[in-house]
Amino acid sequence: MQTSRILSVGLALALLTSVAAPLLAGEEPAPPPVDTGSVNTGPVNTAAADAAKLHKQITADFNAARNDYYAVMRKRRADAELQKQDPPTAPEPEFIARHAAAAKTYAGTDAAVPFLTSIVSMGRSRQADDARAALATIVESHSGSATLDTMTFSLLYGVHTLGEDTVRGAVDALVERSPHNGVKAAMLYCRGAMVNRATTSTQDQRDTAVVDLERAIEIGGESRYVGLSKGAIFELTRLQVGMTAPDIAGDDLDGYGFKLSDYRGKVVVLDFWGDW
Amino acid sequence: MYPHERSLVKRLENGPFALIGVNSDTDKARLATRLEEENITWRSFWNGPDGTRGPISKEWNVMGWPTIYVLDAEGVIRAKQVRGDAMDKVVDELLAEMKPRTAESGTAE
Repeated sequence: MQTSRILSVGLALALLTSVAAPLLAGEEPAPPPVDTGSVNTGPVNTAAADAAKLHKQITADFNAARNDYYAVMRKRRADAELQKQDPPTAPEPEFIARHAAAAKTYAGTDAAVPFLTSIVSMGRSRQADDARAALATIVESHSGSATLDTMTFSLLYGVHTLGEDTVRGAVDALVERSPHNGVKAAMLYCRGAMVNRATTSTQDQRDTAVVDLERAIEIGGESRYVGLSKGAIFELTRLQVGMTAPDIAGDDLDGYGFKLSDYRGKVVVLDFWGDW
Repeated sequence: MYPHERSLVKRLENGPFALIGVNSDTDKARLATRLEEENITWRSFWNGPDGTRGPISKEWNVMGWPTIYVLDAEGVIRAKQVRGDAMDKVVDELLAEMKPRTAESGTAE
């Protein structure tokens, strides 16, 4: 309780400094204004509530900016004249900066976690250094947070940009340290699924991955990572190069039944597709 | 994607080759129009009304679209997630692998 009060004061100070921030060249962008009224008069856990509100606001702004960006890019693709102009600026850098400023405001408390995980998610493709720094902070200072499962897919899909060692190091640490079964299950799933996503894997790596995934199923309870882990085990044990493909029986697009095995004797490209 | 698949199917139309889709569209009327427009002639399983959450992609643990598997004539998975020219190369290698056997069975008959 006492900590929360101190945080509230800290937030008020941060907001005061942020007002002055635009005057200083080279400063990090200030976080957007939040409802300062609640800081002094609200309940004692107001810092966490304000952080959540701020995170929601930045996320909403980012989604809007990204939609605008995509709309401009679509127009551009269809218009040779527009292509002569400079391309629009991708929204990620601005929003990574906003999340970073907010993470700084709440540094040292788990209220910073949503901002840090957003940096991992946004930064993983083009600002890998920022993503790696945020990930390091999460592992060092926030391994007890209950919400770290939100970055599972950022880590899984970020292996090739963040580096396998970086991702594996973070995942190993969180499997070890997290007191929350939901987070542990998510990280075990991530570690197992990484082997499926790798271009090649050895039998040893796949066996270890299956052990991780079985553990995730065991401790995952109601978490979505239980179902995902079951799927990943199936892929590791039945869908590897060198294994006979499981048969598929179903209807074609005209409603006629057929089986994948009807095509034995032919080389088959099996293409999971959709027109979107 | 479509132009590449069309040319692969066209090039190998007389060979022991099939492109089989697992389609995850939910609007089949719209899809029918698109099949016409894009001249998509190859056969697809329909993944059902749940689209990308349908039963076939679920069993095969498909997490992204397109996902591609290449199977040899015995139904053994020989490559995963190959696209474009890399996919063609695998297919051609597997077809070349089959030739000696086809010739053997030819002389035996």
